[in-house]
Amino acid sequence: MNSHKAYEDVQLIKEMLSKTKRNVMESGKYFALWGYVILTAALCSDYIANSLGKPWVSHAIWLGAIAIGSLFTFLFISADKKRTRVTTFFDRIGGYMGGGFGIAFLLAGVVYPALGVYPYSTIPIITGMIAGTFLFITACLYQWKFLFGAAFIWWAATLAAALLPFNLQAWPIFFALIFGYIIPGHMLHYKERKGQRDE
Amino acid sequence: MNKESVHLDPLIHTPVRLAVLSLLMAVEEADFMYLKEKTGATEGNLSTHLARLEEGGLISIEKTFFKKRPKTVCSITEEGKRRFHHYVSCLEALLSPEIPEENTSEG
Repeated sequence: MNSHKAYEDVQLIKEMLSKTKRNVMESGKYFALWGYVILTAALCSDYIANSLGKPWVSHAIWLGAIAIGSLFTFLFISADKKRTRVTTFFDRIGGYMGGGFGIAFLLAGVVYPALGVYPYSTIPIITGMIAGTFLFITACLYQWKFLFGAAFIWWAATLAAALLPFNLQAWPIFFALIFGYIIPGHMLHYKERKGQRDE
Repeated sequence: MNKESVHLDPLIHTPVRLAVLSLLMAVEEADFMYLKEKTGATEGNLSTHLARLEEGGLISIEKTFFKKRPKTVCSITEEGKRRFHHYVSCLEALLSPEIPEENTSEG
């Protein structure tokens, strides 16, 4: 075999590797789904349940929202798994990370407050901090630069919430949900669709 | 490894099989249509090459159904990874410049 043929082989390997770069499982719709679920639950919990003066309504709203979000996530993942043409290592790592953070959100947002580990008023701050960490790691993993911005929005929002009086704490969290989760989710979804069209 | 001793794996040393292994090295698993699209091979040609790679133990093939249509999913085996790495080492050896004898004995 001459050097020219070896060079052609190397070029072929490089070409094939570059073709796999853009293949990551669609994540935008999961971001948007959970963004809307949490935003709806937060609005309902903050205004409807608190005005009724019955804390159990707030708990029921959050548990219902988590159940609905989990059900739709499971249905989307099942459909994607059957339809997907390629699975990358990042998809597997991202999947495990999503599951791990989901458990962390459940513990921090529902289980620990219910056990009295910390008061309910700290839930948005703790879960917001976890959301920022999740977005930061996701940004590093997939090299999506705009998600770094989303992570910092969440961390700044939790800091603002911690400094504000209790009755105003929800506002920075709503801001973070819209600008740090739902809008990046739609941007991601648009980017994925564009990537598929360009292929 | 010098150029004279380089022995390229004949099971990998065809453009389609090398392309398939390169793709599978970068992903966890890929279906038949994805490999066909990326390699530019015809269905019959790709099927033949995939069968050869599977016989050689370099890839594993799982056949399932999606919406009543057959779906073939391929992934590289540990043996496939090992032989691919060796193949790349051979290519590197072939492409590396010859080092004069007097320089290699220094130091």
